[in-house]
Amino acid sequence: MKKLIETIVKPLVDHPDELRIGVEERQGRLVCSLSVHPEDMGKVIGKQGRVATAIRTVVNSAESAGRKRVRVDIMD
Amino acid sequence: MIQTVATGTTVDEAVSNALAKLGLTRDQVKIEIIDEGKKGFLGFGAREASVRVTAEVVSTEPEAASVAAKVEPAEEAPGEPMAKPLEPITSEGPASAGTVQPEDPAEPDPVPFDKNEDEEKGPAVPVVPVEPLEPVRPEESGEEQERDLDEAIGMTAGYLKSVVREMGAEDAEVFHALDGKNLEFRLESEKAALLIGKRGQTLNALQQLVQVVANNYAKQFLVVSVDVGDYRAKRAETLKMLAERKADQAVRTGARVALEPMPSSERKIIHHALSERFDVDTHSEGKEPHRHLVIEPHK
Repeated sequence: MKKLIETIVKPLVDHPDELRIGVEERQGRLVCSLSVHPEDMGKVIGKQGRVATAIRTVVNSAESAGRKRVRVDIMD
Repeated sequence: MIQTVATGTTVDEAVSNALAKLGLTRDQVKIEIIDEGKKGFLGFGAREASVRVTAEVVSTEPEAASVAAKVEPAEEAPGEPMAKPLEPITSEGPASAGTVQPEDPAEPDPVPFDKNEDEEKGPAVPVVPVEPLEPVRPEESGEEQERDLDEAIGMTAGYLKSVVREMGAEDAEVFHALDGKNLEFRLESEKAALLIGKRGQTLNALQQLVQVVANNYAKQFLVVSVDVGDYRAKRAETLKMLAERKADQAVRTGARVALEPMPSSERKIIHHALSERFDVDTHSEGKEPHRHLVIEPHK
C-alpha cells in the first residue's frame, strides 16, 4: 500500500525526498496520511482536487481487490 | 498581414504561444481573444484559451513568412491525420450540448475559417481538411525536441507500468502511440477488470495521473489517454446504443429523458451520436461529478 502511493506520488512532486507516507489501521479501515513539501501541496491535490481524487480512486481499486476501504489524507 | 490562432491553458499562455509561432513580440501584433477557456473537471470539459494574433507588418523572419504563406493558421501538431478512430474519447473538448461537433468529413466546409477557430478549443477535433498544413515550428530544433519527447514518453510509460503493477496487475504491459499531441497508452493485462474499475473510473483516474506526469516530463503539452485492451472503443459502442435507445424513448413518450451522470468524455460521445438526429436535442445538466445528459424531443 505504502509502496503504491509512493509510486503514484513521487513523479508528481518536485521534492520527492520530502514525501512522507504513514499507514495505520483504524476501525477496520486503512488510513494513509500523505505529507509533502508545502510547495507540492497543489500538485498532489490538483485543480478542484482532481489529482487527489484520482490517487484515492487508484489506491482504493487496488485495495478493494484485497479487502477494505482506504482513506488517503493529505496533511498540511 | 500575418495571422495565427493559438491555444494555451490561459489566455496569457495562448498569446505567448501565438507570438512564439510568429516570432514576433507583443507590441507588434493585435490580439483578439476567441475563447477564455475553462478549467473543466478531471481533465475533461476543460477548454483551452485561444487567441487570434494579427500582425500588420510583414516580418522578414522566415518562420513568420511561412505563416504568411499559409492562409490558414497551422495547428501545433501539423499535418496530423484527420480522422483518428479514438478521437471522441481522448478529447477534452467542450462537453456542452453539441455546440462544437467534429464536422462531417463528407462535406468539407467551404468557409473553414470560423469553423477552425471553434475547433481550436477541442484538441481532438480534426483540423478542417482543406489543405495539409505545414509545421510552423522552426525545423532545426525539431530533432532535439523529438528526442526529448521520446524520453518523456518513455518515462511516462514507465510510470504507468509501475503504478499498475503495484496495483496488482503484475503482468501488465504498456504500449503507446503518439498522434500529434495526442498520446495514447494501451495496457494489456489479465487483470483488465481491476484496471478499468466500475464504469471505467479506475481507468479514468489512471489517465488523469498519467496526464499530469506526462506533462511534467514533456516540454510540449500532451493530451493523454489510457486504454485497457479495447475498452474505450467498446464503451463508445455501448454508449451509442444507449443513446439511440434513450432518444427513441424520448420521441415515443414526448418527455425528456435524463441519463446517469457520466464523465464529459462519455457525454461527448452521446452528444455527438445524437447530433445527427433531428428529432431530439441534447444538453447536460448539473455540476460535476453529477453532471448528466438530458435528451429532449425536438420541438
